[in-house]
Amino acid sequence: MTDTDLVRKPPAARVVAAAAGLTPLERTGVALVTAVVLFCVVTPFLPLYAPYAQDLSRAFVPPLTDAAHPLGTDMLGRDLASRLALGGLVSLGIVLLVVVVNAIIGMVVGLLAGYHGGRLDNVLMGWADVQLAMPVILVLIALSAAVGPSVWLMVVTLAATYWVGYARVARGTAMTLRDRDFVLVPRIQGASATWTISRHIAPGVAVQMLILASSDIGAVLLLTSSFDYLGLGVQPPVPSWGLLISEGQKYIRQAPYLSVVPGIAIFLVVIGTNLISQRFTAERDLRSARRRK
Amino acid sequence: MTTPVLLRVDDLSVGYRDADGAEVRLVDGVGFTVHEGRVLCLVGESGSGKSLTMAAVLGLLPEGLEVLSGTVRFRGQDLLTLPERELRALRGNELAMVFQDPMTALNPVKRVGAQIARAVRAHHPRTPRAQVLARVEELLTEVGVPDPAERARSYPHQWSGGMRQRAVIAMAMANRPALLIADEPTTALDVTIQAQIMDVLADARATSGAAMVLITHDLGLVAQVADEICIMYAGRIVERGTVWTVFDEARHPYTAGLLGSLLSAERAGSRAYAIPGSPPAPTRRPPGCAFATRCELPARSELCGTTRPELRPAADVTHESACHHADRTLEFARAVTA
Amino acid sequence: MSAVLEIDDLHVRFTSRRGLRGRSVVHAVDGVSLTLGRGETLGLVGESGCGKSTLVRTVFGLNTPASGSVSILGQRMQGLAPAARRKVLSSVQLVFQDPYSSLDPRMRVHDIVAEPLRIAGRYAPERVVELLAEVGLDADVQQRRPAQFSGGQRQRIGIARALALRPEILVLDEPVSALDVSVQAQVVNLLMDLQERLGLSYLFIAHDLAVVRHLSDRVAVMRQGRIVETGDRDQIFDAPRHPYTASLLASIPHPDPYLRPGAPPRP
Repeated sequence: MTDTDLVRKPPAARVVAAAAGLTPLERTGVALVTAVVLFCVVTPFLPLYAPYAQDLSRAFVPPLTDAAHPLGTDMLGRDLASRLALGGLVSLGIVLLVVVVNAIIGMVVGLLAGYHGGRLDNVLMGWADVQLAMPVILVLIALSAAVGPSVWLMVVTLAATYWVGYARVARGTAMTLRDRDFVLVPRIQGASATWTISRHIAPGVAVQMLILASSDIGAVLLLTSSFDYLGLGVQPPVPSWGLLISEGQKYIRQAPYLSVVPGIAIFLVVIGTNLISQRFTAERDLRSARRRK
Repeated sequence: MTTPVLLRVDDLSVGYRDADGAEVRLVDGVGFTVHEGRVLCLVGESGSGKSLTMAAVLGLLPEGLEVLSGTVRFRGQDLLTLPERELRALRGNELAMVFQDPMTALNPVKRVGAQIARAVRAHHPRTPRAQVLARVEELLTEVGVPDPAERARSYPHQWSGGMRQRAVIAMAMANRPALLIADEPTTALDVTIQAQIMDVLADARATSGAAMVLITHDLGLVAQVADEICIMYAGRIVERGTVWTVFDEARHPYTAGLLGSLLSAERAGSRAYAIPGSPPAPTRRPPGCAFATRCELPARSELCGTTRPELRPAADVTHESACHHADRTLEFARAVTA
Repeated sequence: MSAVLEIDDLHVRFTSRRGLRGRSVVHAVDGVSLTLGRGETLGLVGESGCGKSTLVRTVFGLNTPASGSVSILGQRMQGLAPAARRKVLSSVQLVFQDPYSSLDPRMRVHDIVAEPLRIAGRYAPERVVELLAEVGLDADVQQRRPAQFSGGQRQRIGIARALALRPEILVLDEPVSALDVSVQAQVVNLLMDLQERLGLSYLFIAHDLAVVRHLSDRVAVMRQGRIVETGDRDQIFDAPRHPYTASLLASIPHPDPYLRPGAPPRP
């Protein structure tokens, strides 16, 4: 997996270089994600923002009919635009948290296993296999039944299970880098494992973690949204996109927009991040193709 | 003593166009001829364009590179304008190749015998099975593979590096080619194996009468097998001649420097001549002679920095040099090789 | 002549698992004894798989010997406490074959050369400049990264790094075989200069016999984990005793066309 091209440039330079020559599809991806995120971040500063204010006299206002409620209102007369924005911040925040925690745990475990090898490697990767074999949904349902569902339970459960993919990649890279000559130098000098890993191995692995994380965002958003939808994640009255869909579903005949609008938001982010992350995977495929010649 | 011309390359340039549309020439106006049954060595260090030259001849340039000028005639037929289908028919039949890494030519998941059989069949598809098998065994015996019938049934990973290279040579010789192109065929191998592989190549050529273009950086190898030599530097041929004259009377300061920097028994323990600096990148070649910045020829002049020297007869028509001061190189060559 | 490096009856074995039960033991280094005298160059010649890489790794403590010992500057490494061992090991440094994989592509030249100093807690920026000058590089290369250098310059950077802790012994693992012909002589000359100036002792590992003959005072020939022949350079090259040494010598192509079979007489 590792190769010199990947190791050569510092991460920042790689990101800049990647942004410079985007294809139209990739630009669409960036535009979609930026638009959705901007909407979520800006709306709370607008005068109409009131995600929790109920007004039963103005329930079920359809979108684009009332200037005060551009996206309409729900069954309790709450402003849908406000709830969509807040729900977006909640959903995306959870996704980011889950992905970052996973990447960090995976990277640390992978680096330790790959660099030290031997028994530590067997123990860590054996543990990873066990994690992988446990179905997340069943674990979450069981835990929710035991201690009651909550956002934090979902985040912790996902964080504890989803790092395995990251650990595998990090371990592979660490193992190949470990035997490169330039890593041998500090080892011969008697430098500590921390020195060697943090200076010579972690930077190369971090880039890969970033790429992996970017392609994971869409999947994790879908997963957490389905948990929200099932009532295993975010709890009302706090909105999230998954929760909004499930709330609106009861009124799907008289007010389909209540489910459709948050559904579109999820769709846009998933499509957007996938279009962007394709760049990295395509680049990687191209490189490995070039190596094979 | 001269035999008919088999391959004639004229003014061949290979390169790419950069973002501004300017040509970057990795191979620049290279020309040479290969006579039937003779051995031509293309000598140069990495980046000199020696491998790209032959890749262009074979129509095997890597993506992004193109032939910018020149002609390549094999038995009078222009290879550069030949349709891909006919070129492919020629490769592996009359033109055969051996590369540095035998695994580029071998399929790791197929038995070695089957791969050689495919080479035999490629151009004679209707050969009966028994005859193909017999030919495979015969070829493996010719390249010195012990117990060929048995070994033909094993996979490349079960073969050592030297044995794999023998198998590749067997494949190359399958259709009795007229020209064998060998690109650093022994570089990746141990010294004792190197010598064996060169012997195998010599034997194979002796039985088939094939000519050979040997691409290498190893002057020892060149001295042992070459008839003619082209010394390449920074994409151009800087000296061309027979092995006898080039080694004895270098007419280019680069050749003289290379010969001077050879570490040998006679100079053990003392300092060998070292060419200063390193070769220029293709995008940063100086306007004059590409070697000018590294040249220590006492007779070098301002001309070297401004005007690019063309290849022209130095001593006689068979010995050419691209140096403005080719008539003043002999003393320098003696001094650095002393 | 006092010995700076002594390898005494060293055995290194690897066990590889075969199937469920079977184990096979590989004797990578099988009873090797070598002595490197102060200021001397000992050439170690052998083909791939002869065990020379394992031997080097064992000298640097990356492999544990099954038996035998490695002594550096009179100190027996086996059984030495880690701290003391590190101290002794700082007087032996390694120069690698491949100048492309031996320098971390992310790091600047300054940090590459400074790394051993920093690990040993003896970092001083002037020392880096001094080291670069020692190998013929200007101080202004410090902020550049390895990708901007040619193979020969990279090898100089690697040598500068190896000199950082003022070692007495350099283990040169095929230091010129990955370099272009026109650059090899530069690096060989540099190594000879450094040896003269700094009084270094070299363990020079190579398969290129011409380079070995050029640099070495004594030569050891290694095959299948054992030393088959040791001797003075001229004895080994002019009067080899072991048939393997003879066959190695016979396979060097001599860079003179008039010495090949069937050559015409030199005019």
